[in-house]
Amino acid sequence: MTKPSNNNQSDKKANSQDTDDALNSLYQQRKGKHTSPSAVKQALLNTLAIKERRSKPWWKMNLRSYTQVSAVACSIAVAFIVISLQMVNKPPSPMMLESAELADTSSFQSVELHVLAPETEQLAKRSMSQSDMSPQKSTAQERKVQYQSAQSVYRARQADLAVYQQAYATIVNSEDGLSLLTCDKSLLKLSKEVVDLLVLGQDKETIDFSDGKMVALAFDRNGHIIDISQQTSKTQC
Amino acid sequence: MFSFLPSILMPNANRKQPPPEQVMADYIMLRDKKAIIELYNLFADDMYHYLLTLSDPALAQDIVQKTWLKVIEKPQSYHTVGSVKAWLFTMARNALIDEFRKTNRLVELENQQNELDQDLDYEISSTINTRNVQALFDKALMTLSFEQREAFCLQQEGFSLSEIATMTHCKQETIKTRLRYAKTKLKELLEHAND
Repeated sequence: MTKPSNNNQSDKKANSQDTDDALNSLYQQRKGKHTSPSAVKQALLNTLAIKERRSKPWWKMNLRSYTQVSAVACSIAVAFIVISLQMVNKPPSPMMLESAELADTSSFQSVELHVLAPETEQLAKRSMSQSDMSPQKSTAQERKVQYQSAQSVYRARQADLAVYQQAYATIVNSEDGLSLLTCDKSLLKLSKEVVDLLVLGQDKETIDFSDGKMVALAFDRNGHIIDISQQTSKTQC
Repeated sequence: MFSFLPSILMPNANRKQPPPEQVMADYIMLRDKKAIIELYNLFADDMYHYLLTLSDPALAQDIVQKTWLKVIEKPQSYHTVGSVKAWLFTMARNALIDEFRKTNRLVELENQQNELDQDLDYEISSTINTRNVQALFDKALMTLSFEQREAFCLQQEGFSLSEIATMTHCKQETIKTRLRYAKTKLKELLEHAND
């Protein structure tokens, strides 16, 4: 007696399940026909973009194209002005030649350098003779010594030039002897011995020690007169 | 289908989709817009259809938009206990009820429903001949009362009785009754169609 009722119940359950499935299927089909409009998604994306832009700190913001272009243009203009001002204020360099002059190479004399200087070459040879070297090494060593010698000669000359001071003076012959009146109005009395030392090695005839003649004086770092030479021009002071 | 391709060519092929709750938690933490887009792709169609079934296309679109804006602006209102879908549907439903209250739309809907009920008798006789079951189902669904329709839709969306009860602020027994009435009515209509 209970079996048919059980069967009925299970049939009912199965039917109910079938109906639920059918309803669910119909519902899903209906849902497939009615999807969210694309305008909603677009609006959402716009909102997200605005929010992202607002929340970004200013240094992370992307500058708009016109801002970038104007910034670059301003930078170029400022750079152009600065360079122009520098060019105007800068004195013309002696090395700067007219293009026409540069083009005309016939006006230049070409010189080929084979040795640094006669004295440096001699110094190099001397140092080479003192040491035993292979031919390949000796050439390189010779060049090195030549260069070092030339450099030392140049430095010595530079030092000499640095200590020198030049001044101009007018010769004053008086009863006390020979004196020199410098451009800064100081009178230097020269003994005969000093005069002889100064003109030593020079052609005495080239220096005229008569009153009022102009001479050029070279001093060392201690203020001693180390050279004297005749000056023809009278407009030195 | 493309299993023969190396995974480097299909980087997402073997990647497991994170659960929506995790995606939402990520958005709360990082405010990454990709998370919102991912959630939208998962639930936007379901939400729109639910709202459309309870109102009309224009209002459904408006409410969907408002709901997603709320998600973007106030994601912290999501509590990690419940499902994201339930949270989204609750927000959408509340917005819809607010809109109905503002415009006295609930009364209008009741009247509309009565009209549809009368139309349906005619529809059944004409639609059965063409065996257009889907069209009949659409009509039948709209003849259900707002509460029955809502309960039916939410159940079809996969919510449990307790979730539906929480969302609609009703007792589970009430939801059960609404569902029973809704299904019976729809079943009768479908049996008519199949006869």
